[in-house]
Amino acid sequence: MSTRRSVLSMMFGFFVLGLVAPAHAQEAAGAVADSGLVQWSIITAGFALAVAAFGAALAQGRAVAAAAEAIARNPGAAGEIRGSLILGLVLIESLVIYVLLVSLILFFIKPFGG
Amino acid sequence: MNRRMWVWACGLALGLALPGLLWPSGWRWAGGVLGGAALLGLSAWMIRDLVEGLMGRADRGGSTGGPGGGPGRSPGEAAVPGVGWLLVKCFTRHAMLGLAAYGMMVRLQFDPVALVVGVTAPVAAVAADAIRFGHRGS
Repeated sequence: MSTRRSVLSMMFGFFVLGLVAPAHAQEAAGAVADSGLVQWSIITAGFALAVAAFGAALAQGRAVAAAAEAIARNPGAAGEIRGSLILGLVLIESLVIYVLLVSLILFFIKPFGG
Repeated sequence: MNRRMWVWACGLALGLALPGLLWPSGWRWAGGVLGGAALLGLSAWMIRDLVEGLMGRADRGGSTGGPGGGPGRSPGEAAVPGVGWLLVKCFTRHAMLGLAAYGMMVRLQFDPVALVVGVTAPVAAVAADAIRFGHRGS
């Protein structure tokens, strides 16, 4: 129960940090432009990265768990399972890199001005 | 990813980057495509090292202490890196990727869209290989 509570409080802490970080980033850039679009693009980039990291972590965890179970059942096929696992992890990772790039574009290139 | 997929991915990235060299400021496009492909390549290399390192340790009974493997290792076997280094690579992977992407985008002024296209190149290579495999299997 206490573990669950600590996990929940940690998640809440990260959520609050996620809300605060774009505000601080906005303070630095806000002197130049205070357009609502810029503000929302920065907040959206932060949340998109958080959602992508969450989804990818979940998917990679499931992939590794399934591969470990498959190797435990059939150790002879470990080599093929390992190859498929690496391929799957890289494909999942590519989605996070897409979001990372889009977030970096929104943070630094600022296509909406600012 | 096997060797054939790496070759496909490199060929595709080069094919997408070369047209950028045809116009004056096209180096930004070419660099972006190659940089994006390098980002995913770096990520794939780290993931492969992590999976193979951890599985290699498990194969050897997980008793290896530091770099170079443990007591059960025969002279012909490849060295297994220390678990500390593997975990450092695992947990700092995204930080390294983010730093590299920032450097390419902001410092080197590569085209951001080209970076996204570059990341797509290895994924497209894998997809092409999967489609080819599917056609051969059916």
